[in-house]
Amino acid sequence: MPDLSEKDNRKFIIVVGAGKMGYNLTKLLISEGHEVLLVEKDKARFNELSAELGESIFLGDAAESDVLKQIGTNRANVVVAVTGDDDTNLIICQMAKIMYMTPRTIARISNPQNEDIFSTLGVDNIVNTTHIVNSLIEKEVDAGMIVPILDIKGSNAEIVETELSSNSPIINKAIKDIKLPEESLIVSILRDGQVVFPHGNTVLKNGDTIMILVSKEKRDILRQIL
Amino acid sequence: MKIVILGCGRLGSRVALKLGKDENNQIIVIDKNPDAFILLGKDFKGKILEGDGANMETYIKIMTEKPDVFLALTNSDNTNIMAAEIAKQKYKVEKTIAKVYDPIRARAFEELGIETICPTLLCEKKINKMIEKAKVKESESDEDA
Repeated sequence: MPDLSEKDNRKFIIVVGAGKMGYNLTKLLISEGHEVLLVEKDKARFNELSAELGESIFLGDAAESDVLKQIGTNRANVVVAVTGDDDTNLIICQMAKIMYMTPRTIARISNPQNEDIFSTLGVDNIVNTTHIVNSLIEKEVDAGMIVPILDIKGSNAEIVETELSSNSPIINKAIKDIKLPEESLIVSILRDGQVVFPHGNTVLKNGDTIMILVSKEKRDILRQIL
Repeated sequence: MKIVILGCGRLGSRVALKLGKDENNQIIVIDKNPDAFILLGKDFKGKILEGDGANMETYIKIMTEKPDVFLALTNSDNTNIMAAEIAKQKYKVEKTIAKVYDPIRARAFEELGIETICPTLLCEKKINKMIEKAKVKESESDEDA
């Protein structure tokens, strides 16, 4: 488990929407040592989870200004809105920004056509579930698959993730010896559940999950290399 | 004027019928529920379109009409705000109004340049006025006595 005992690393994160995604995200963030509050407006779902999550779950509609105030949005580092409604997610992120100047807001969108407008309207990051699921389906047919995990706001760059298989040409090679396209950078390696900080001499291994920052134009070139 | 009305509920349908009486107005009413258009009656001359205000596809269809006015009057504050933001910021519709029940949410988005109308505030003001009137009458009748 990463050590978050230092105050700077421990964040207060508000997660809105206790569906599967919100629930699992909350558990993950708690296990990483963050202070997390999951907000759910459905009483039945709240009751289902409250025994397990205790004070980390709150019953209320986060799009209501009173609720945003009660849950302490003013001191939140991050607001993540992952309800099933695109409009609700957008408005919650915007209200957090307008009323509390929340440094980072993340919205889930289900309709890919809304992606464009969300970035225009000031949401910092967008998790496009349809996009991810689609990429995962492509995984079945496409061995060299890369899953986009984060769009970088206001740019054409994104962070993608891929697991290296035994037939990948870049395994057992040091990063400095791998010819990656321009406008791409390995930012993190996940090996046996531990994060490895990549350096030039780091050797990639079979089974490593690597995250790469890449411009969208270069994604296909990257796919071929991996 | 070309006027798009999102949400064919009690308010949306009334506004559509009223504005539609002026022959210079061209009205387009959108609702995600096709049954909602029943409220417009048989004589409504404008266009109707089945579409979800929380979905960009609706706007891609409707904004080719280049409306002068966009009214977001569904029952959902969030849908109305998002719709107004899309109309105003992406499609630069001159006059965009969103109905927002939550007064604080209404004010927050006013600051962001979205014109809002808040039924809660309007009712509150009206009720206060009515009570004021009642008070005046009461004191008048006290004086008479």
